Amino acid sequence: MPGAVLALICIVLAQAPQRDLVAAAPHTGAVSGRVVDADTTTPLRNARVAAVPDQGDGPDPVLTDADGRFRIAGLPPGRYLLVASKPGYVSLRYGARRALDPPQPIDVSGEIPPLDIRLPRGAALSGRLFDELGDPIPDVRVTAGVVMHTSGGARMTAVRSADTDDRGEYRIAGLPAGTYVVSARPGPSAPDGMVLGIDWMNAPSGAPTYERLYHPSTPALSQARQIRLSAGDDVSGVDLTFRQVQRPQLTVAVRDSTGAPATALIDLRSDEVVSGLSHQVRVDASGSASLAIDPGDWLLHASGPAGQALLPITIGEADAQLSVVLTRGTTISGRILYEGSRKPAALLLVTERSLFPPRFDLSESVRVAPDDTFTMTGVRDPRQLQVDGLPPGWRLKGVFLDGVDVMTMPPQPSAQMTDVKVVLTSAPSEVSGTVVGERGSAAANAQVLIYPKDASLLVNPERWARWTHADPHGAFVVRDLPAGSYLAVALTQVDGTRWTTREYLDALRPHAVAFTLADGERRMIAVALAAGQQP
Amino acid sequence: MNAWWIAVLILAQAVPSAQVPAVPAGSIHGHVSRPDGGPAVRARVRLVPNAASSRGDVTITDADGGYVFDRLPPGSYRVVAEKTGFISTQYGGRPLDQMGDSVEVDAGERVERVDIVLARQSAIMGRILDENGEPVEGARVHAQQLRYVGGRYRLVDAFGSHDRLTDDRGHFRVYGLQAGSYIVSAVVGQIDYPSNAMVSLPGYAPTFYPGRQRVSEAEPVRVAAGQDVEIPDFALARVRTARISGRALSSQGEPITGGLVIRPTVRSGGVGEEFGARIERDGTFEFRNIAPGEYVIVASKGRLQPSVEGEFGATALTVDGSDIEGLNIRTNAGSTIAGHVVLQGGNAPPGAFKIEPYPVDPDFDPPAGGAIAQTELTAALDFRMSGISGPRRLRLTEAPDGWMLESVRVNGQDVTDATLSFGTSDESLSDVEIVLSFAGGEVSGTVTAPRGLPPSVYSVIVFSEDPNQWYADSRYLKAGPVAADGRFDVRGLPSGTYFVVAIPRVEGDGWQEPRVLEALAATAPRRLVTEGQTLSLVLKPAALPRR
Repeated sequence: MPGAVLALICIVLAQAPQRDLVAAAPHTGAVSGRVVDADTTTPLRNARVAAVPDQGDGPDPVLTDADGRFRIAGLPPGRYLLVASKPGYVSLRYGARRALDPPQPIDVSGEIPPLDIRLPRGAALSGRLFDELGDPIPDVRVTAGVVMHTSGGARMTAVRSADTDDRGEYRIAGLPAGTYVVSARPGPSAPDGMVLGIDWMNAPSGAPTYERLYHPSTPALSQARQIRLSAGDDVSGVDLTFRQVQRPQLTVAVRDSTGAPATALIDLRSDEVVSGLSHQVRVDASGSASLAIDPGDWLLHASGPAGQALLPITIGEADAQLSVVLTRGTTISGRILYEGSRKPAALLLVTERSLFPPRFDLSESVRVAPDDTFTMTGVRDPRQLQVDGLPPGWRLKGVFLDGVDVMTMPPQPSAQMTDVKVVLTSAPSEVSGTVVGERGSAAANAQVLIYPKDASLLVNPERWARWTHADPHGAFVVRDLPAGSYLAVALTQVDGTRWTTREYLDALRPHAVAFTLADGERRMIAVALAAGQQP
Repeated sequence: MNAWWIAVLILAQAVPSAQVPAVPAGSIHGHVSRPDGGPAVRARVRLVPNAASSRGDVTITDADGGYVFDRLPPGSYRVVAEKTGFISTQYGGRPLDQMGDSVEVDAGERVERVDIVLARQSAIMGRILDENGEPVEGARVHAQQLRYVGGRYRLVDAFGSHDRLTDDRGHFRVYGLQAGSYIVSAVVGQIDYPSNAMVSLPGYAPTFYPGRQRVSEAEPVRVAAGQDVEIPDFALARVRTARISGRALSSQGEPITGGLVIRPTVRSGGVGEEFGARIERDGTFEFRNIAPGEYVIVASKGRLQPSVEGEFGATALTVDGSDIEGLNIRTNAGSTIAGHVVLQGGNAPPGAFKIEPYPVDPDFDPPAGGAIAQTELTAALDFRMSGISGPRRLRLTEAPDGWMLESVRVNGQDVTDATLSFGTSDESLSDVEIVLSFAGGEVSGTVTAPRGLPPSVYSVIVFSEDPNQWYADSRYLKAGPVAADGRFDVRGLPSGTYFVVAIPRVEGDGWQEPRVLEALAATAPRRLVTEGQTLSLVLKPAALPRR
């Protein structure tokens, strides 16, 4: 099967930090410091600083004084992210020099030494939206995003958005330095949409509509202009001109596995986060149905007595025909096995998630029964399995079918999978080490990437890859990686838009150090800083 | 009024016309133009039938701004043109929040020149700063109008306009405004409806242009049609804000998870601004960044049925910059008001009458959007309302023309215009007798309009000489329209001494503003009105006092 995706992968989402159980200390802690301009180190007054705990709400944020100083006291001991913001600056989490960098959490217990948070000046993009008559288009959300590359391809990840005003003008500010594309789509987001009496969802085919465009007015992300912004840049004239298109007609033919027409309920969802568009249409015994649908990316889900189907489709300006074959899907059943200390009382869910993300989040869960068994029916390829609700200290060791770990050796698509063993372990796994600089001294401000030797596992980077910051002494630690063979590389800068892609990591291989990690192992490694090495 | 009109527009919109009439069809033709006379291309034009039996339609203007509605059943219609950047305008030139002119279509008639000129929207722009003169980002800026509604001054959102957030430079632009006078205010650090996101910026009070904490000290911003008005920068008032937290439970001990607001008391100058709480499932709540002042926290479950209000609780508190914790709010199930109605001097179906327990103390109003109970009269003219809390007056709020509230008796005692206290079961009233009379006093006659003006641009108002009777839905305040021939007829007045004045046409109850009534009373003659009798007058229009 060309381009086959791993049929079954298990990952653990709960990456809770491992901490020894210590009786809750009665005292509270405090964090203090200064917020300064990253360039000039001028103190910033009235910057807002918030301490955000791992869970729940933090205390009210505070504002810095005239010398840029802040102090947040009365914090229950625990791990916090410090977030600072100020109009005209990039809102940053402490430890991150750039917006996509991983932040450095702060363990608060008692008074900790003052911290400096350095805020870079934000960049801004502004422009206007017009229709083909030259009239401004108001009340449309315009998004500045970065193009993220994953093994699944390129897509835009939104960074910040703003709405156009009555002159069609927008301004997106507070952007971190970087390379951006700008995108918008006039549509049902207009706040007066209802009073205007426009029923966008049910407009007939041929009705005027707009498609999503990227500056300078192209529907293709690949042709979007990449706008490079340095700190403090203010770029205007990022305009978009929209042309009305006619809403196309989509005809769907539904067949069962024998090729005979089948009835189904079809559910179409748009990837437009803002509008949350969806359509439902019922296919009768004729096996065919039509609907008017806006251009764009959609996920089609069909279900009926003959089975189900799930596929992403792209609608252009022209009418489209689509044939869908319903299949029954497979059944996955098995048992959870616990290794280590006694079984946690937490409620576990086995979750299947479509491998079509990240544009679409479609997941279904089954609850693990009290006897630790689970059964999931109608699972469609390609799919992932996850275990949700793991208590702190537990992680997924592997998923075994006939003794083979299907996370590293995927089974045949559509294979029935009964007697699957999902093994959870409480044995800690840890990779720690030091980044070594040019003359063998510890390197400050280094960033470390750890990724699997087997690049095919990058389809699931959440499980197999890590990006972390070394501390000022060059020390780093990464927890809860599954057993396997890995590469580690240390860089001064990581391209957050493509660090999980095979091309990026392959280019780093010459500078990487290889190591293996066994289950429950605490492993120490030394990584040399690959200075100036940026793929 | 606005809500009703919009509802009609939406209903009319819901089903596009596809009907083929049995009688010869008519059509409406016209053009939509911009204020400069140029065609408004691709404007939406909507046909709104005046009778619910006909159907509406929508079309888009062509390259000349022209539009056609054809295959129309004979009837009465209104036409609305809309284009972004312009004020939605009805045929006849009125905006959407007023009633427009009708277009009459006879069988087979082709009605032409139903032309509409769109007025450009106005905008207010400016910059919100902090106490250091640096920009505040994410402040929510409102342009509202101070109006007298329901017996008190309130800040009312401008029709067709929305509040806007400041950008990184502190800039805002509130647009979609009609010509008028606006109060501009900026708020930061409150829960942001409808996204529910909180821009939690502590330390700033809601601030009115040009930098005042009280609406009474605000300077109105005057805006002409199509004008962009840039107001000088103003700074948010830096204060010590507080966090107010506690738990809200119903009378049954169930957590209250919605309908919880804090608002400055009307006594201390509040004008209807409300801030929402973060509420957890267990009923714990938290208001953040509350500026010093006098407040009421109101918890309400909302009206369940027309005759049943929900549970209600209110707590007054003073905020002085210190956090307040452990505030427990318990709602009451409310009182029941049951009784019967007696009709005197006439007859009408029971469904034509609605009597409401109208809140007398605005500090104990339900949160915005929370409706108050009204009677649902049985065929035997019995009624029962429940879940009633706070000080109320029983008022006749809906009745055929000419009917008035004659008396309200509880256990034989006359409480017609009295304030009654509700909230507990002890305060329930079980045998209320409400007498409605068709034999009220009547004032009729003609209005003589100045040359060139149709009399229908006026209304006639009738109000008691006693300022104590000037409250919302008072029996002693009445208004009526003036017909095209100048005739008017205001009926259903209790006996008493009144002022009768013709004033420029009014929408709603804004004319009941005491300032207006006092000014009009100063020059108008007193008139004695007696129940069962008609007073005949010829009136010359009076001017409304300037603000």
